[in-house]
Amino acid sequence: VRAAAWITLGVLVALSIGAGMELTPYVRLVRELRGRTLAERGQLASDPARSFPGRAGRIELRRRLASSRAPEGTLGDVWRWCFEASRRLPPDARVWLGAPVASLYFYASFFWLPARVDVTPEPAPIRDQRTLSRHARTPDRAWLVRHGYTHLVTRGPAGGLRLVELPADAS
Amino acid sequence: VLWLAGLGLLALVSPQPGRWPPLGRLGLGFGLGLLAVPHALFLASLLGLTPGWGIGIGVALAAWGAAFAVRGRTALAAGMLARAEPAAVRSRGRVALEWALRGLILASCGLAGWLALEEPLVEWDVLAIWAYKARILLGAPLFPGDWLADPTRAYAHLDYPLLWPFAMSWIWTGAGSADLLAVKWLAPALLFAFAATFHALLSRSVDRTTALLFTALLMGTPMLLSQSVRLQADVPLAYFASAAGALVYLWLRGRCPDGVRLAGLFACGALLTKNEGMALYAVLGAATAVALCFRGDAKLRRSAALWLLGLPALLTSPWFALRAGIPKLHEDYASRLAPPMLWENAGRIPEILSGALGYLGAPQDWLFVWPALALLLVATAGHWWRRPALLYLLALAELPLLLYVGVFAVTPWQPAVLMEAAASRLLLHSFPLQLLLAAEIVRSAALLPWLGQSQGNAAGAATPPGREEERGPRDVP
Repeated sequence: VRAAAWITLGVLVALSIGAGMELTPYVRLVRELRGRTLAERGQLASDPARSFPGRAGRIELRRRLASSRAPEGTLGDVWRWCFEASRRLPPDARVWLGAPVASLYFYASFFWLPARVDVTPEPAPIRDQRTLSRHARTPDRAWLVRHGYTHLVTRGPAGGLRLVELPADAS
Repeated sequence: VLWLAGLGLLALVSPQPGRWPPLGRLGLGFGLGLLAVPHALFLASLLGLTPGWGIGIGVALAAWGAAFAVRGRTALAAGMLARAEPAAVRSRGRVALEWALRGLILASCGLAGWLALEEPLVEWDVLAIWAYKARILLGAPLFPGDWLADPTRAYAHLDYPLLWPFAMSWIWTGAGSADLLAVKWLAPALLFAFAATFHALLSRSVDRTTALLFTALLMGTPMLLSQSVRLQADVPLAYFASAAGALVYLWLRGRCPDGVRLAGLFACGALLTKNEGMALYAVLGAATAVALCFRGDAKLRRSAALWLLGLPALLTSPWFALRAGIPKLHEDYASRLAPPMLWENAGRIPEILSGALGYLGAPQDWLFVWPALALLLVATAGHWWRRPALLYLLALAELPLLLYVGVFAVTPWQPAVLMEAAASRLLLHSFPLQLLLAAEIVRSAALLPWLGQSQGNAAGAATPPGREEERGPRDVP
C-alpha cells in the first residue's frame, strides 16, 4: 500500500509539473501576437504551422508539419484576405466565388455576412472540399451580372485571390 | 448578465445554495447562465426577436424574482452570501502543496484566457459552424428564416444545436458588433467556471488537497486549454455533461441533495450544445435508470423522472421540434449505430483502437493522463468492481468512449480521417468524469494516506440524499 501511495503521489505530481511546463508555449504565443494588427494576429493564429492551438489533437497534421510536407501559411493567408476584403464589401453585395476552395468558401461566408457568397447556380449540398469541387461552377460574367451578382472572386495571374467588382446590370 | 441569471437560477433551484463554496456557486452560476440566457434568446428568436439586452436582463430578473418568491429574502441572503467553511488544520507541507496547485490552476486558466483574448476567432470549424450561425442570428430571427434549409450551407451542420451560437451572439449584442475579439471573453469565463465547478463537485466527496490535485490536472491538460482558447463547442459540452454526471453521482451517493435538480439543468445544457450531447445524455439516463433499479426508494425514482426526464423534455422540446424540420445533409450516426451496421463494420475496430492509442498517448495533448488512468483502473480493478458507486461512475466515464468507437466504425469516411479531425475533441467530452473517477478511486482505495484517506472511507453506494451532512462522510456498501 505504501508503494502504491508513493507511485500515486509521484504520478500526480509529475503530471502537474508537466502541465505547468506545457504553459510556456502560451507565453511565447501571447508575446508573438501582442503589438500586431488584428489582421496580422488572425493570419498568424489561423496558421497551424505557427500557432500551436491549431495543431491540438491532430497527430497526422503535426507529423506532416514536422516533415515539412504541409504547405505553410495557406490557411492564414486566406483568413487575412477574407478579413480584409470584408471591409471593402457593401452589406448588400452578392459574391460569386470563382475559386472553389473550402477554406475560402467557409471564411468568406462568415466574414462577408450579410453579403451572400455563392459557388453553385442551383442549391446543392456542400459539406466539404470534395462536395464543393463537385458542385462548384464559374458561369460567365454576363450571367453573373444578369443574376444580380455584384462581385466575383478569382485567381490573379500569380495565383493570388482577387475581388472583382462586376458592372451593374444595364437591363 | 450570464452570471447574474445563473446565480438567480441556482438560488431558485437549490434549496440550500450555501452548501456550495462561494467559488463553486460562481462556477455553477456561470454554467446555469450559459444555459438560461442563450436558451431564452433561442426562444425569443423563434418568436421573431433578435438578441437584445432586454432578454438577458429579463431572464436574470425573472430568475431572481422567482428565487425571492420561492425561497424568501432571509434564506436567499443566507444561502447566497454564505462563506466557505474554515479549513481543518493541516501540515505546512500540505498547505504549500495546495497553494502550488492553486497557482497552477490560476496560471493555466489565466494564460489560456489571455491567449484567447489576444487572438481573434480563427478556427475554421468554429467560424464555419458556430460563429457563422451566431452572426446570422444576431441580425435575423430564426423564424421566419429559410437559411436553416439552405443545402449550400450544409458544411455549417445546420441541425447542430444553437446554444453556443446564441452565447456568441449574446456577447456580440453587448459589444455592439460581431467583434472577433470580444466574443473570446467566453473562453476565460468558461475556463474559470469549469475549474470552480469541478473543484466544488470534487470537494463534495474528496478532501480539499485531492480535489485541488485533480482540478489542477484537469485545468492543466493542454487539450482542454487549447480547445477553450479556440472557442470550440466541445468545451461547454464537456462542462455541461460532466457536471450533470457528477451531480447525479453525488446525489445517488447522498452527497448532494440538490444534485438531481442541477443535473437536470446541466443535462439540458449538454443536449442544447452539440449533437453528441444526446449520446452523453442517453448514457447518463441509462446508467441512472440501472442504478435506481437496485434502489427501492420510490421518492428517488420520482425525483429522477421529474428532473432528469421531465425537465430536459420540457426545456429542449422547442429545439428538437425545430430540428425535426431541418434537412439532414450529413451522415446520421444515431441511425447508423444500429447493431447490424456495427456488426458489418466490426472489422474496422482493431484499426480504430490502434489509432486511438496514438491520440490517447499524445503528451502534447494529454500529457500522460490517459495511460495513467488506464494503469489506475487496471491496478485497482479488484477494488472498484465490488463498489456500485464506482461502477456507476465508470459507466458514465467509459460508455461514451465505446459509443465513439462505434461512431468511427460506422462512419462512411475512412476512420483514420475522421479520427484525425475529431478523436481528441471527442475524448474531451468524458475527460472530466475520467478524472472524477480517478479521484474517487484514489480516495476510496486510500491511495494517498497522507491526506487523511483510509480504507474506512471507501466508496460504496447508498446514503439517501440529504442525509450525508448529518452522518458525515462515509459510505454504505
